[in-house]
Amino acid sequence: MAECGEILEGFLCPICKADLGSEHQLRIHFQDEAHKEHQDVFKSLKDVFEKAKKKILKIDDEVYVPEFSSNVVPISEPHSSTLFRFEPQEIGEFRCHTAYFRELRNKRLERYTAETNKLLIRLGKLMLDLPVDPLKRKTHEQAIVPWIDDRDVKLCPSCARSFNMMRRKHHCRLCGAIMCHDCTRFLELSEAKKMINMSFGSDGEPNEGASTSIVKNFPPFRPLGRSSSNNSLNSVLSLVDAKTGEQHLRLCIHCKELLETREKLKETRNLKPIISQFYERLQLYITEVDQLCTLYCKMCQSLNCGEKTHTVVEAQELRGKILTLAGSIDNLSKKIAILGTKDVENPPKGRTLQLQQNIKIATNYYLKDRVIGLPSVPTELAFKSLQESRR
Amino acid sequence: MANRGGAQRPNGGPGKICQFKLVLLGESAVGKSSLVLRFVKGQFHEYQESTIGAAFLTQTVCLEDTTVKFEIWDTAGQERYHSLAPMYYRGAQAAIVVYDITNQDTFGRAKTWVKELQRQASPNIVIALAGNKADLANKRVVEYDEAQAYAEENGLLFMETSAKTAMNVNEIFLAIAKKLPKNEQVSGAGSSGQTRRLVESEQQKAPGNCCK
Repeated sequence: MAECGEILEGFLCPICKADLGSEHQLRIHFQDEAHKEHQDVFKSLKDVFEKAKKKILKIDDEVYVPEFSSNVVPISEPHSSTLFRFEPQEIGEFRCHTAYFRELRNKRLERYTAETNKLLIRLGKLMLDLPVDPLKRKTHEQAIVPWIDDRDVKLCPSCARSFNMMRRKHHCRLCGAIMCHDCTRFLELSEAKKMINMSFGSDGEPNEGASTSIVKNFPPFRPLGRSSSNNSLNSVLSLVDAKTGEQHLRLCIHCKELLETREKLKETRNLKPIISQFYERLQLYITEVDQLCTLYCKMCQSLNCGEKTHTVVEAQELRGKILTLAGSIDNLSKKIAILGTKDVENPPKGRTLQLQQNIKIATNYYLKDRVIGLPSVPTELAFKSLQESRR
Repeated sequence: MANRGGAQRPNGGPGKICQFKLVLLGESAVGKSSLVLRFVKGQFHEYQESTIGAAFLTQTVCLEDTTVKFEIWDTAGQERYHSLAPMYYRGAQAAIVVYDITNQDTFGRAKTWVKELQRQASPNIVIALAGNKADLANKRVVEYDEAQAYAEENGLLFMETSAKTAMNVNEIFLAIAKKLPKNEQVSGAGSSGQTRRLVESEQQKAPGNCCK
């Protein structure tokens, strides 16, 4: 009895006999092991079927010569696993990467935000008292963002093409880097104003006034000409757009992209879904109808009493107005109800659709309640007789 | 499986080798570990420490032309380890449910273990009921006949044993070995624990088939 020597004790795995140290660990381990075992069985069965299939289809290759005699399959052999690379695998271990992802994402976002904020601050400084004169403007720009020395840059850092007479060097007004014309973009001053107005909202008025005055004072088009000093033709050229005559700043594509991304983000944040835009208009109409209806009811009452404060024509006009409004309300509610239903790929479903239909139903009730039950205006004849009877 | 090599050697000669998983269940301090220790090592400790988690031992017995290797899972009897038991009796071909003849509660507990095994273990499991501490007959509370009747009712093997005096210890294991199906084992299927064993025994048989 050679093998009775060892006695294992502890939180032993019933399958692999490893001591897991604690009940909890054992349970976890056991689940994994049992799971693996099932897969093994499954695998060995698969193996047998696979071999049978091969045999039937006569696609045995020399590399793998299976002995298809017994269902005894060496499950522990490493190469058997490669055979099943393409079989659907059962879900194994779960790992949560959200925290890691968040960490990475936060870092990135922070960097972008910091970068964008820096650009916005610079843009604000640039726009503040931007001189009209091109020369002065250049010194102003350089005072805020130091420009890279022309001599340091031989190739465009963005597209790696060399500079020559045709492909001239341009400075980004926000980061000071040099790029070729193709790798720079223009930012209209009006656009820039909008960007910084939004970001320095509390500063308010002065920016607005100052920058508009520049645009106004600046001649819309300035004939090209080489200035006597060392400033290049291009820096003058780039001040004004030849087509629209509007002033702009030259930015490298990277800075422009950052600013544009921010603008887009702002836009999407402020954008209301179409349905709520429709609904707001609907509500507007409804309050209007409410007011008109109260007025109209008072009118009718006084007319029916034979009073002379209002005329029949007035009341009829008002009634017409209410009916037109009701028509628009009805149309709008119908529009809301079928909103997006023609979209084949992504039609509204579930609660969205229900909401849309409920709006229509509610509107219908409202119209029935409010508009259809309106008292009628007495005809001119009836009104006269009413007046007489009053006397 | 550490002992695979050894299984081929025993003096049983050319006969079959069968491997069975056996599990011991029962209330705390009825003598499960002592029974196994007596069976496996022939030892008895007056102050056997209580088992933590479970213990694993193996013992091989020879039956005529068959060598039966028991893989014995001795479970901890303490209440807090009861939830681990299903892990160990899962796929077991045999079980010994132990009670203490000087303690009525342990007999009650043994009955619940039997019930649980009948309900949840492999359907063909061989269950033996062992009334341990038979050497303390003067303090007996559970009558032999009562236990015998219960065992018969439920189709269990039954013996009163004593790990201290070694009475009926080897006998009960042998009785189980005899009752276990020796050839049917191959078609047993079910849990893969059996499949793995099946693979092994086939492998062990293989040289015998081609060389002799």
